[in-house]
Amino acid sequence: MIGIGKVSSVLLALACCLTMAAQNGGKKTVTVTGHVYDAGTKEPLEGVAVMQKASNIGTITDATGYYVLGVNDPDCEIVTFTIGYKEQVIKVARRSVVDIYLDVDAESLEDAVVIGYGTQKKATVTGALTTVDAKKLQHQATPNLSNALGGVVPGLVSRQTSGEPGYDGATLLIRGLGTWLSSAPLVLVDGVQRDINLVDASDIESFSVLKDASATAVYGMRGANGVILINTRKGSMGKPKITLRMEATNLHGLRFDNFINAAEFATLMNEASARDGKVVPWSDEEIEKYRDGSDPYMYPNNNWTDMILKKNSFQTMNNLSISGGNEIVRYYVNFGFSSQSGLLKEDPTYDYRTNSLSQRYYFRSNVDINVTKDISLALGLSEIMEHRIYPGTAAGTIFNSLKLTSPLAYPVRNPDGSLGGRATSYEQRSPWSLATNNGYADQFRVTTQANASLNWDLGSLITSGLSLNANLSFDYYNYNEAFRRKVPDTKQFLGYDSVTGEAKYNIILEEQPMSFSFSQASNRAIYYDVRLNYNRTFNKHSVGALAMFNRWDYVDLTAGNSTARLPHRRQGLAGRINYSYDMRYLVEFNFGYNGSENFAKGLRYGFFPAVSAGWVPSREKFWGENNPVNHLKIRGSYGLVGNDANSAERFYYMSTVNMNANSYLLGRDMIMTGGTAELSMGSPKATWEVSRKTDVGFDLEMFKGKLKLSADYFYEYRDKILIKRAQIPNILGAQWGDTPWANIGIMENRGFDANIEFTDTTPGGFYYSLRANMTFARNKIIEDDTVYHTWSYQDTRGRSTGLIYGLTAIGLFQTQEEVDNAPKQELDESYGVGDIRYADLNNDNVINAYDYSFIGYGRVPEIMYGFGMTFAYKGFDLTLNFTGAGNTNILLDSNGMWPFALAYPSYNIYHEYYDNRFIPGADNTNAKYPVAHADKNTNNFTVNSLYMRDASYLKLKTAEFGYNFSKKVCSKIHAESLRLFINGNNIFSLDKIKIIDPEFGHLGNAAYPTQRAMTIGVQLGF
Amino acid sequence: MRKIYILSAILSAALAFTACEDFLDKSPEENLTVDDIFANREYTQKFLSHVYSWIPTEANMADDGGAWRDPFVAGCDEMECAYGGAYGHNINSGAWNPTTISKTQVWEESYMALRKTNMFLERVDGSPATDEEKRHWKGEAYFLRAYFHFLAFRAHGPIILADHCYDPAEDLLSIRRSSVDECVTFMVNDCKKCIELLNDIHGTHGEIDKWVDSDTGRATRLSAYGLMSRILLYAASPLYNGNTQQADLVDPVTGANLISQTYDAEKWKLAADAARECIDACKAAGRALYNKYPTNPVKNYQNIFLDVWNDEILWAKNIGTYEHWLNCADPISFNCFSILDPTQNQVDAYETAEGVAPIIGYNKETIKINGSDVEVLKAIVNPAANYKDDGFVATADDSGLDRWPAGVCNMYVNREPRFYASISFCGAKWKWNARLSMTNSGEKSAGASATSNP
Repeated sequence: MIGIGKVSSVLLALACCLTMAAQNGGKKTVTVTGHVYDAGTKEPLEGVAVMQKASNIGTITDATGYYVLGVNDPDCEIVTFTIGYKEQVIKVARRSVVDIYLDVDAESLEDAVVIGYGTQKKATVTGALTTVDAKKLQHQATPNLSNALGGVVPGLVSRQTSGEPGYDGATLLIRGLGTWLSSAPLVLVDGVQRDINLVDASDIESFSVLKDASATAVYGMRGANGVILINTRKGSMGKPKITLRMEATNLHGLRFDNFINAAEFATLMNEASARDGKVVPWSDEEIEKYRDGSDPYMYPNNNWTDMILKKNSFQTMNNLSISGGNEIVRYYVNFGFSSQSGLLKEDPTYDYRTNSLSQRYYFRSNVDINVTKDISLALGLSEIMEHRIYPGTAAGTIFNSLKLTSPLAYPVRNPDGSLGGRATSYEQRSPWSLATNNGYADQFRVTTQANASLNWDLGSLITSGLSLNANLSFDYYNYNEAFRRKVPDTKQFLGYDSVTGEAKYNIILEEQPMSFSFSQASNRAIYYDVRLNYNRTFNKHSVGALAMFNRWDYVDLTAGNSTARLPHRRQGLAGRINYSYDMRYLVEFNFGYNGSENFAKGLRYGFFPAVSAGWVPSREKFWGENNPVNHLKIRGSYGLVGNDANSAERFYYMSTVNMNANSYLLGRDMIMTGGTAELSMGSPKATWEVSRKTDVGFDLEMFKGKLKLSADYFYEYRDKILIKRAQIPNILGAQWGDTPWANIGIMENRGFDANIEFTDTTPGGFYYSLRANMTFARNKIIEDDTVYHTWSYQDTRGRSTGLIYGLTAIGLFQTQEEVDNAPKQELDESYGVGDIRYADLNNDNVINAYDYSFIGYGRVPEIMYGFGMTFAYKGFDLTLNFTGAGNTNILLDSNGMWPFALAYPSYNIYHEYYDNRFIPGADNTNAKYPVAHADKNTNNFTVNSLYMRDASYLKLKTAEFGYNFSKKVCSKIHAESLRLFINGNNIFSLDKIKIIDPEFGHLGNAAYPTQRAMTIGVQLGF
Repeated sequence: MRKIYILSAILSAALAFTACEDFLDKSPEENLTVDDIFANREYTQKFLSHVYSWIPTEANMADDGGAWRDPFVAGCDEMECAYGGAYGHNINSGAWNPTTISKTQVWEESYMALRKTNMFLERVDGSPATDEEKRHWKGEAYFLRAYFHFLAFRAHGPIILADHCYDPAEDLLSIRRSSVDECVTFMVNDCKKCIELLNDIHGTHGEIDKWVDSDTGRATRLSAYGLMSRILLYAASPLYNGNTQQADLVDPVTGANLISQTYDAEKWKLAADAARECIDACKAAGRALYNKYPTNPVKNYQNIFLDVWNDEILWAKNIGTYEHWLNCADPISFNCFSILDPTQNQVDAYETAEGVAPIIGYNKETIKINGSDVEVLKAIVNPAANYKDDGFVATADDSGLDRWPAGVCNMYVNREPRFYASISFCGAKWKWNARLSMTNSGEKSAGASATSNP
């Protein structure tokens, strides 16, 4: 509380200084004139801002590239700014005419890259960080930025596990899993922890991924899982530049569940019953009725998948941005609208929408003001409004129902028009009823993000190179949902009465008027920091330093209890000192010093230091000017990063009490007396989880920068992982599940990531760029407080987290003799020919719980790679990006692959099973799946390697083909630029799964299918 | 001048950080902590009430698992629990082992209760209650500590003693079970502490008592006497007194036996003395055997169990209305569960009205059921008893006690009063109006018998 007041006084003090600094100056004005040209084409450049350096004096070139600038010092430097060209600083040196040639802006070593709390020249960076060219993120027609990153950024692992509009963002991991608990990286947008999916790809100015301790130490507490830094675009000087981008996309659903039809289903039921010696449920005539559809009410044949899902839907994304400004004020404003439709069909009976829809109204404005020569102010505001509609049933439930409800369960509609259903609780309503006849949810989300930052160059006041920077942000989020649920008339048709001919029904659900319910959630976050920066070069010595203080205060405004409603707080100090000699020897020290509300005084603060160093041999004399390797940097880092929370629980150190605990009746009248009790015992010794990260890497450029290669080896030792004690004696008396927190987990994670890129333009003007990147990360649990098993192959220690745990299948029993000679399988009372045979891991001649082991990789791939290429020639360009993953397994062990897990006729059966099953009496040499049983056979229905597949994939993730019209054409429509393009997303996937997206969860999980996006778009610049 | 501003700015930033500790602290107006509970008299008292809430509901004999049931009655030979999942079946079938016992949660929940009890004992002295209140509360807590240990002891024999509130930082894995003798001594000492501290508390009984009606349900010195007597009786029993079958049960470090291997007759003396002490204390407190209905022995016996807080009750758990008991006990023909079923041996054990045993043994016999031979036990009727195990009685009980209606089986006629208070039989009057039917075809029958075979 006091602290906020104190920092307010800092800002006040800064504001007082503004007026004084503004009065600086008074020297005589000298006029400088000249032209600004493109250094390559020698064409004049219009709209280039020309400024006296470190002042608010400036002008803009006219159509002929001419400028007139009045400077107050004939020995000053002038500096140019314009989009697409590099900033250039030129000494006036008492000349009156200064012509300026600007180089086209391409990524170079001189560029500043965004690092934690600042920027640094790329050449002097010693930590492991990857910056991504923002343009590379714009080739995808996806409203969610997280979906544009897979395979583009080395070190980043992504998985998209749903295609549901609004919920289709990918899970991101930096260098895989560093812990078996949350491994989500910290995402900072304009310096503040924010949702990555609320950033429009066209707004990105810089995108950095910080991977090692050196890069993330300044984030101390939250840096252990890596950090993604996104800065949004700022205005540039010049006349207003208007960019309009419009895209229309066809979304094509991929890999819908493919189930067998009613006749096949009935056949399979007969087959299973016969196999198990039970009465066969269907006669041949009945099966024929299922096949020919002659009696659709008693013998329905529903393809529920086709009934609820359409193949195609529509998406549009539109952006209008305006950027410009002068020497005093620069602005960037973007207004956007996107709309993404879902794949669910609708019932035309209703005039309201039930198919999912996610619409986003997007506004962002960044304004930079040079208040005085030394002081600049940056103000950012963004407002994201999302309007979403979903059917009244959650997608998970609809797709689960799709898995559950077989083609012959009941007709969609009964003869009297009511909807079909069954009394069984989980099949009362059909997938179609749930998707289209259950009302809708209308959601509205508003996110407001406001930033103000003040930058004060203290060069003229104290010492050159010193600056003070203060940032304040305020975010607010509100979510509300109006939920209208519908219960339609639902009956089970029992046929016609043989005497009266009347239709007979079982009533399942009676129609009810649409209900209404409302819910909401909101939160707010305040963040501020104050930074002191120092950057100066003395001859060959470059020195940089940063000291900063930051604070974050987040409140869940709709929290359900007083503890949850308390502000979530974090604060810390961070600092950096770097030194380089001749850009040849580089040393850097970073630290974060952070406090967390979760720990007791004395353990509350964690100090997270990191050191890194680099050597650039290519700048040594011996390297030689003509060495094809024009740049080589070898770098290494070691440091600590922390983590303070592994659950939504708060104040780990404090005991909590229950003031309404169970009590006891007292007195002859038995009066409840009220109870108080310890609720959780508190963990006063809990403290920081610490990740020790080592990184060794190099950056190399050859052929004058045409070939760029960088690679890193990393090793992370995550120590003191905060977990709830699992193995603690009951005598402690902890309430059920409420064992104390302890810093006892240990995990290590190692691997490498690498990136290579070759870019060149042939003399004939053909531009091409080839690039590839790869990430490999393998983790190992060292201590996770689980039990030690009798059979060590069941221990989690020494293995990666998330591995698939199951039995090792060694095929299907083909003969009774095989069954008799094999070890007894104690999984089900009966098993035999056609069932799965398992390996006896401990050789005790029985297959039981002790034969389970870790049989495959987890769902998070160990290998993630991407490669791509861009070609451009005379206005045409083509970009292709491939993404792949490896060392990951998936289980195809849904109930739809295990007939019949529930009583007939629940659960659809996948064609994959039906076409490859073991058929009693047939030739089964190629059978992939066990024989069907009339009821749940726990011999087969357990996690085992028979259903496990290699889930590695290679996807053509994006492709874009575009044409940029020439200036001549553009001028006819009074435009600066005009680009037409088509692009595609998720174009194809090469993998062994075929039946679902290889990025999805195991087949048993119900998920909304992903889509292929085919887009045509236009981008107009004025 | 400017430099002053800059300095003040930097200093302010530095000062801001000094206020950090407060910034991260949980605000004081928010939820209480355990310390806050013991800083308030009322909250402290409520904490003790919560400790009481861990007392198991022993009236629930059917269900296993879940919080606080009593799975052990159904494991005894006087009753069969017709609920298939009852843990008692594990005891009867021998499937009672370290894995299945966790279904009863006796071990886990005993220590959860003990944690709270010890926490109370360790902190109550600092609470703002009066000295007399604290003395009483501690006396109760010592009784409860003995009782919660007893629950674990009853199921597990030698147990780990929780003589203080364990701290998670302690080396809990090195704490070992104490021997039965040590456990007994510990529990008995806690009972003695209770007796000493509650020297003026007999359980709302007239002028000798400090307590009033609204305290009924709390532990008293009489409860402690009763528990102590029970503990010492268990300790003297062959299970724990020279049980050489348990020679293997030793401390893993010292190798000492956890159950004494030499029979000690003195333990019986201790148990007898404790029982005598208990009886004497009860008499001194004005307690006597229940005799509210001297002319109706059936009703008098029945009401020992129905008349709450009567003179015979040394301690009980107040549970108010407990419908689950009714649901478990009432017959299926009354839409209940018929879960609590006496065995035929138990039924046969009731004597005749004259005090003679009706059955003196059983013979094995082979009879044909559905064409196959089945071996059954046939009761040997005591010729000296006024008892017939076949035929039906023509007339109803004419003694005025309404023990049996006309037409019931002779087996149920002329038995001792406890029989009519305890056993429901086919044709008996149930709840004073309807007649019980235990045949498949009977009125209100749900097709199942409420009694089971011997």
